[in-house]
Amino acid sequence: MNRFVFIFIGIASAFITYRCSILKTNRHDIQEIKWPKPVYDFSSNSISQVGFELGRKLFYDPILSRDSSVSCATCHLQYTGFAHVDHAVSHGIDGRKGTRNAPALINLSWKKFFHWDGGVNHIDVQAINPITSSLEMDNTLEEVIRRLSSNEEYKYLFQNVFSSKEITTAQIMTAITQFTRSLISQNSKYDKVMRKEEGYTFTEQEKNGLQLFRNHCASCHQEPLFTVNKLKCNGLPMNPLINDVGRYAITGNPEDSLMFMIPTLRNIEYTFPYMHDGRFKKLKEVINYYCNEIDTRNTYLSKELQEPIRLSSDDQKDLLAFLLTLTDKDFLFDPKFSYPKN
Amino acid sequence: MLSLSGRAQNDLIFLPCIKNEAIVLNHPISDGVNTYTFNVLKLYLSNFQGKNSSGETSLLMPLALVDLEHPDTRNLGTIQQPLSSISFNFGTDSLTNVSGVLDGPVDPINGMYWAWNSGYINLKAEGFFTDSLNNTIPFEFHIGGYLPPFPTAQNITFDSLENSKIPSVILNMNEWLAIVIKEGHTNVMVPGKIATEISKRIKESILLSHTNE
Repeated sequence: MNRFVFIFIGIASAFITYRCSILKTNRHDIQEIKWPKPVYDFSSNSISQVGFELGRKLFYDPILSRDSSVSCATCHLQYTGFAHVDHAVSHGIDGRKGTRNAPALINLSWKKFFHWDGGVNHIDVQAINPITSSLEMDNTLEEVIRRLSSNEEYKYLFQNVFSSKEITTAQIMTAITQFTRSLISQNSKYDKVMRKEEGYTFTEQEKNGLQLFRNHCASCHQEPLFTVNKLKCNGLPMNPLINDVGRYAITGNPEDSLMFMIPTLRNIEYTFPYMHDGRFKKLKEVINYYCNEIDTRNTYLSKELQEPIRLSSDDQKDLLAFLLTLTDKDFLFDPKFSYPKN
Repeated sequence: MLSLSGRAQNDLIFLPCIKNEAIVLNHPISDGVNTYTFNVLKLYLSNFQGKNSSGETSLLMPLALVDLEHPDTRNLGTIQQPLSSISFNFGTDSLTNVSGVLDGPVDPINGMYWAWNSGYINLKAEGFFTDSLNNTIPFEFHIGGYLPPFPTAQNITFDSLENSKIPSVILNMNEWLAIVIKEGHTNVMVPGKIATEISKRIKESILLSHTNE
């Protein structure tokens, strides 16, 4: 990988994306806005070429799982926005099934909380969960360190990154996040139109879809991240087979019942199935749910959804057309994020 | 009687006890009524500060994991001068809980980190409780949580120390464990109201001892 690529990766996450001007438009007005400042403190773990490569290798290596059968990439596939399309919920070793849909890994440096219930408060500790969860990799940190420490290639790579002969939990976790924090998607048609790049314009249908989006969806899926990175109850009835109470399981506060993380809509075309339990396979089903199926009597329903969203069939199609402009194929098929060949 | 072999005169010691008798893992110990056997006992102490007679405050120990599997961890360090007061936290502070992955005593490999609900377990106690009627009850307490309204870190201050002696700090586990178990709580594994109430009981069970060994 050449030097330019890593200048992009390292700098983009901290500066370029932050400073990158995009254009907020409506039918009559064009107003320049900036990306918000990333949540992640880059001074504590700046991205280097060797750190990124080590993180990528760990991300794709099943050595992290107890029986060496499952890697991070098993449930987070690049070409589906680092989400999981095969199953409604994630699955781990021995075919064990979890209770939630594997979320997309996109623009993580802007996230303050992780997992559908927001139970993880820092990206650098996130990977501890899938590694040690009995439903996912079912391993221990001691065993992971033992395996990596007895592997000559990893010993060399860790020493090269951290200048230390001893491999530690912190080194493993921060190496993984050097890779996952680099998963920045900002080159969709939407982005190109907003940046006024030559040759990129919205169709009339997409323009109308954008307007509908801003009127009905943007309070939770705010541009340019297409999420406000908060937890809300969207009114989905609880699946009685899972009885997932959402954020309430973390805080013990009844007011947090059935609250789940608002996901980004970037690359939403490819990150199916949808919702925390993957109950919807198609975007049309999601739009239909918000337009026609929300039970407004739900005690926990977020205030943003108290007023029913009424969209005609044509408007629903226009909204869908706009959402497809959030697909960033440069990101989905970028070889620097794919399985390491060497 | 407290007992800690090899203790130097100026060492600051934290002793988990049953009725002032130091706990040893996997050895039954009685408070005169109930008997306790601990298989696991670990806890965090942080921001241990001392004040001398001139009113100067110094940080004696930023953070420690006391783990009875490694009895030496009960020794928190050497005090250089007589102190008039000490203060410390039972548990880890909120900043530690939101700082990502850390090394040393707070390395998640020590088994005191909740992966599903970020944050540290401030006290882990697992074992068996036998009451006066010979009923044996297994217990498992993972007391932690830093978010309001259910924080579990507790600040403890002892003033008016005897300047001539370095005290031991003891945690009489029987003072809270017997009560909590008799209230019906034998497994507390999540942050919340009960964990916070237990952390307050733990605070009340920590006291000083000037016992000479």
